[in-house]
Amino acid sequence: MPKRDYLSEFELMVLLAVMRLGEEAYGVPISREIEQQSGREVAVGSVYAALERLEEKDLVRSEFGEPTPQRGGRAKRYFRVTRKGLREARDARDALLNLWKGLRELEGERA
Amino acid sequence: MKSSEPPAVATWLVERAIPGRRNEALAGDLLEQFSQGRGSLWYWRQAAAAVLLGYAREWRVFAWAGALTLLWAFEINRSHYWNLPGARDFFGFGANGHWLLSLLSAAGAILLRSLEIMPLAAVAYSGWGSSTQLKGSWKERGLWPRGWSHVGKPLAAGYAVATVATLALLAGLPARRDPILVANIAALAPVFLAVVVMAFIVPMNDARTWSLTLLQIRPPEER
Repeated sequence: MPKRDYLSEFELMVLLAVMRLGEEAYGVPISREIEQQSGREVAVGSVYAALERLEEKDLVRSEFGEPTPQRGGRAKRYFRVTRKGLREARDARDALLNLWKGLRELEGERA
Repeated sequence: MKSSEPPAVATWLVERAIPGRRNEALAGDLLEQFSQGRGSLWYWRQAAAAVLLGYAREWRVFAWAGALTLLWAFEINRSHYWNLPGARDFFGFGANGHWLLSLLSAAGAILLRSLEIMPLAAVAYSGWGSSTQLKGSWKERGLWPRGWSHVGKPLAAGYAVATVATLALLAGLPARRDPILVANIAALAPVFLAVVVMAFIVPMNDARTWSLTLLQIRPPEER
């Protein structure tokens, strides 16, 4: 069986944030999306580190946009999920759902 | 009261001191959030985290380069100043030589010895770098030059620090106290410091682009 790299929890969160943001997925909104959905503060540097790992695994790809004055003339780096990334997110969801099924300790926890 | 300008040193660190391709976009993201109301403390925290994470991610490359640099610098200086009196007399012009000639010859000797070891270090590093970097064809992804551009600054800084430290150690030993050594340290320390400063003036990404251009390899993002 071929060796497979599993996504870490944070990588999965970043991947899902990129999917949710679509065309507007660059560092600032990705960080905000994760902060809003998880309730945790994140370092932008850690988001980029995760994005670069995802890019190395061919799960996302990036391209630079136009420089803007608001950013001191620095370009935004936009990220998009690849087909492999979509497949990986789906596989991760299925695996987690299977693991969650039938766990009495977690049932009825949500209000 | 919130300052209207972001901390310049933090921006400089983000743009110049982080390995990889994230510098410009990351600096822009921090500036964008600062302009939207984030404070200087937040900015500093983000910049420090980005630099630490950038190096932590490449720890295997930097650990190897760091160890290599320390051994390299120590051995070059030790062999020149300690174990090889004949070479030292030849290069150092003895205690009665003019200080400038002595300094130039010492610097030349260190450079020559560095060049002796350079090919071995290059082979060892490129082998290690290729095995620890991205998957896929090294030529396709430009792994070899990517590795070198990542390691250039720590290597320059490490070499300079190790050289000065080794010379200081040798000069400080009571049995080996030597006015030529002390003079060389005093004169070489600013030279090495200048090398380190110059290395950091060139952004990481530019160093990578130069190395790719020299080897006629286009970066993957341009295709």
